[in-house]
Amino acid sequence: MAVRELLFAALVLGQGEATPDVATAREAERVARLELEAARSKGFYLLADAASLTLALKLGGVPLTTYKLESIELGLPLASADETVSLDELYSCASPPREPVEIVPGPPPAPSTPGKDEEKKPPVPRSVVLTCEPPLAVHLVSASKVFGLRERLRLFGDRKDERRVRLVVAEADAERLFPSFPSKPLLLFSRVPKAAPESTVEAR
Amino acid sequence: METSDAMGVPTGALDGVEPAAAAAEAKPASPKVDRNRWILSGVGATLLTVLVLVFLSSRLYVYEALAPIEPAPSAGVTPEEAAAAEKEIKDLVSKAKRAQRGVAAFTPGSVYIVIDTAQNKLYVKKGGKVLHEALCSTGSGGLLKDPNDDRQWIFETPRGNFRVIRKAEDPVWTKPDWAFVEEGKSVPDNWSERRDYDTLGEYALYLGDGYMIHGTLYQRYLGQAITHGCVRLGDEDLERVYRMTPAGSQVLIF
Repeated sequence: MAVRELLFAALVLGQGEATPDVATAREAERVARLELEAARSKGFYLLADAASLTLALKLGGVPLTTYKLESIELGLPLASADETVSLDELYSCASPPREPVEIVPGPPPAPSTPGKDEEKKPPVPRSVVLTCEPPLAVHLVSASKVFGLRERLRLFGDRKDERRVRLVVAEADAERLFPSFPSKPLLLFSRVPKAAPESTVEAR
Repeated sequence: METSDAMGVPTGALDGVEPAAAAAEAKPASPKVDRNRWILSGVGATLLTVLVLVFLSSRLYVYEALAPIEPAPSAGVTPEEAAAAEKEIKDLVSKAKRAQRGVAAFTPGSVYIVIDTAQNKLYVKKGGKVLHEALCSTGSGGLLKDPNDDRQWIFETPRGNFRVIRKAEDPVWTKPDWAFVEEGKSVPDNWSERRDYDTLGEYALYLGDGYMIHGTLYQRYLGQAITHGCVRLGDEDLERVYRMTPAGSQVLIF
């Protein structure tokens, strides 16, 4: 039997359809193993999936929500751009603290009085830079705000010999992601390919 | 004839220099000097460019899309290799399935609540399925400073995994200090002055540390982040959530 056919069956783990090859099976096993480790930590973790271009937010293994990504890009300093880099680890990340808006004391409005909008949102960042261990800088940016000149200059001055990953979040989802971004999430990347429809047909 | 100035210095000698210098300046530069200048300028510019490029190359990043892994070509594989690969795949698939089942087991099979603070939405779920969805209000993230001392409070809804530790009908709110500071009032010494019978609505689900899911007098602000950290619901939604969610249920807030 063709190894590929067997392999794609395992790829869609749980659906028992098609068969992945060894590399795919290894990747699927790595992702599942790291996700279990992340789930056991009881905290927030993010799963960036290169095949479906999604960023899933989970808490202790329970799915909370999924954000659509426009791209996941790996960045290397020009001088070492030829290096082969894998993102095989479970990264422990920290996001910068948000600045709260100060409240001015005063009497509350009457409950039934329709008045001006009371909501005073803390400023939503244009992007979030996560500093992770093992060393990795993760830049989460909204698709509508991809690196203006100011941002580029800031990053230019901020440069270290670090590996970077840029996650470009779809504009509508960035509005949801940034206000509630967890402060110390774990992060893992999945490169398990989606089972192509034609492959599934072949397997049948 | 030689001339002299007031100091007796013969001016002719000085005069004699100036014309020579003037003559030198007036004299057009030779093509050789011009060429040398161009060469020097060129070398300088090249050096500067190289330095800039070196600096930039140490600062610039090259980005490449992270793609799904490519399946290895299966052509030219011997039967022995294929058999070994098949065995390895079987083993890997078994391990991956086991791990995936482990992750799935963390999703409660009983009723639990998920609160999305970015969208101000509350979901009652069971086994991953949404049973009820409601608009709510969560923490404003505002900072309140006590003008009389160093105390300060940040009104955020805490994120993480909580449980409904207690449920109550007609809950009474014992107002904390910040409730008075925010309204510009002095904090009362008498605890009876802190009792508030209206603000929380008809039901409350206590999450610990003073945080709860409760009703609101400010129904028009549902969907906005305006609370002091508690989660407010409209009357009908509050009653449904109260009835659907037993004490001990998980509350996941993000």
